[in-house]
Amino acid sequence: MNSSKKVVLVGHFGVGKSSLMRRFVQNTFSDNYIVTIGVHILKKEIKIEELNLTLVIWDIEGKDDIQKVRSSYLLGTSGFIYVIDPTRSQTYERFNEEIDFLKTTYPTSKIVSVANKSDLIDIEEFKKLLEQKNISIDYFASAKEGIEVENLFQTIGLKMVKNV
Amino acid sequence: MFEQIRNKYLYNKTQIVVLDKQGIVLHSDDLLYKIQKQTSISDFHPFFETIISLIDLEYNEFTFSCIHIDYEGIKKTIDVIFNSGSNNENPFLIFIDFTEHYNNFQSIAQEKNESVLSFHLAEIKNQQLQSEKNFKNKFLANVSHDLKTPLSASLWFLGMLEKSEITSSQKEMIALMKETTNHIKELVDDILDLSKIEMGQIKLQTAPFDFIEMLYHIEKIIAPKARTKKLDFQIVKDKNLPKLVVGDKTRIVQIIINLLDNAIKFTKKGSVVLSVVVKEIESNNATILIKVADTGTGIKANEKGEVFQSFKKLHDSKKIDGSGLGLSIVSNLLELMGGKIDYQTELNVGTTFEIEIPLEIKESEVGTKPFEFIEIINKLNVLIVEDDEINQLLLMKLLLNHGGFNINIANNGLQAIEMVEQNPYDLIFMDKEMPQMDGYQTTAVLRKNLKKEINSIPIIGVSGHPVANQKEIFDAMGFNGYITKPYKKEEIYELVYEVLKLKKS
Repeated sequence: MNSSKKVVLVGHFGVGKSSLMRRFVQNTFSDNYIVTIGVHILKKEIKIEELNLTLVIWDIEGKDDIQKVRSSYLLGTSGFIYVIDPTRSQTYERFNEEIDFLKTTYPTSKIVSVANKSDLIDIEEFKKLLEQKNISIDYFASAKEGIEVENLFQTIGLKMVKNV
Repeated sequence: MFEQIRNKYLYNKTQIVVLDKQGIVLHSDDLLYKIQKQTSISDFHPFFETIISLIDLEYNEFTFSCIHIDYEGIKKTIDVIFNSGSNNENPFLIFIDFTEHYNNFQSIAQEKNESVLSFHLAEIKNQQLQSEKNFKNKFLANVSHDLKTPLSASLWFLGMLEKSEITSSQKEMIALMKETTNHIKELVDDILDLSKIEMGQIKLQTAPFDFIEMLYHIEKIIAPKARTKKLDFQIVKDKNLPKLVVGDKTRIVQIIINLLDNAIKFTKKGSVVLSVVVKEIESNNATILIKVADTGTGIKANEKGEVFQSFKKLHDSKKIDGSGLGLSIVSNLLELMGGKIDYQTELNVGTTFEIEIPLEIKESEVGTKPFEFIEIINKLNVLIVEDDEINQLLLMKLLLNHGGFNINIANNGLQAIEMVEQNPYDLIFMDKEMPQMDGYQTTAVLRKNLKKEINSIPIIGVSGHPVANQKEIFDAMGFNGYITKPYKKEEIYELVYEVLKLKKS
């Protein structure tokens, strides 16, 4: 069986949304930062049990406020991946508000959160900091090192298919 | 005309694609991309998968801006208008090519975001450097602090050993050990000071003080050092120098002595001149310009930028001692004071350091508390421990003039220890330099005496040749106060009142 779902990567600029997508789809990484304007779209098929699921991944330009994202980009989204940069507190200061906005505005969509660039931090220390701020992050990934990237997309796929 | 212009400039910037209700491409003018007919539009690019899901929403129109479509080597950034059609009309798409516009916009965004990110990176780097620097300073401060006490003790014991009955070759060895230990202690003091400055732990202690007297004090410390190296040492003072000023005297002395020590260190022959003038006065604020000029080795052109860096030893010569911290401390202290430092130098001719220190002038009538005589009805027993007869007489005379003291004299430390066992004393004046047992040693013995009435007698140190940090040394050795020769009777009386906590009733 085949199916296709739209997944949108959201978060501030420079958190590594494009890098996560490229690592996942093309298994490449570049240290050169290239600003995304508008949207780049790539797709990749994954397997969820017996299902061949095509993830159509929208890598949209970074915004410090999810409400500033062009609404047309988010039409028909089944899953969101919210990306933060643990080395820049500005990228997760309003994390809970942003997640609440997505849950309220797109109630049927699934959300997975990820701290990219985790190769640059002490993850345990960062988890403590997040706990103090009452922030819950699902994955501590690194597009550069290829850590947890597959799992991240696999999880959003599973959540969308199983509706969990 | 319009049609011509439109065809020339707009025609090849757009593309129209007509779909059926399942999203199959029926028609395309292929002006931007060559799209396969009778295939799903989603085969052309995954972006259009979203479009297919919108076909059912009749009579709707959606605009998607800035979509990057890379198809068969053609890379464009387009806006897409999608009309979902109706019962009678097929859905259609319009592509508008804005590649150039979006490319320009991309460059601007790139520049803006990069500057934000590099600022952030610089901030992180700064924080890391600061935290590494703090760690280093804390470590150095702790180690230096722990080293200070045993070093002071070593120096004290070496001093005692030096005065015991030993052979001349042993004396020479001890003198060498003292010199080496002193050098280590100076280094440790410098490290401690610099670490504290860099950690922001040094707070200036501003208070009124006699600026002219401070210069005499400096002269007493520096002149013997210059004599040892057979250098001519002079202090040139502006006659307009204010007498009473407000500032951190200890630190100002430290700055000037550091510069003078440095000048003496790098001068083999010739002179070292300290000149002090008033650069400007505005109401009660003066800028004092202090120059230290030497006829020493000078600073090489390639080392000029490094003069005030920590641990930077100019002159590689191993014959010249130094940690390379002195000028860094001077520059940091001056920065704390709002002052500045500069220098001129010529290789093998000499160097002149110029510093400016802003100081508040204290009007003498406002600044100095007039001396208040306190009458002592029950006379206090005072022991003067002093080996020099003239100094004995001088101090005795001053104290007897007061009328509140009974005076006894001990010619040396050993005699003083015997006398305090036999008579009760309220106060002791202890000369620092005496043969057999000096003032430090005698005080140490008295402080270790088991009898409280003896070990707690207030002791005032008397110094003829004050050294740098003299107050700290006296404090560390258990003295209650100190005075340097020559002294005035009011200074002596005020010190006695302070040490004995006497107040006018």
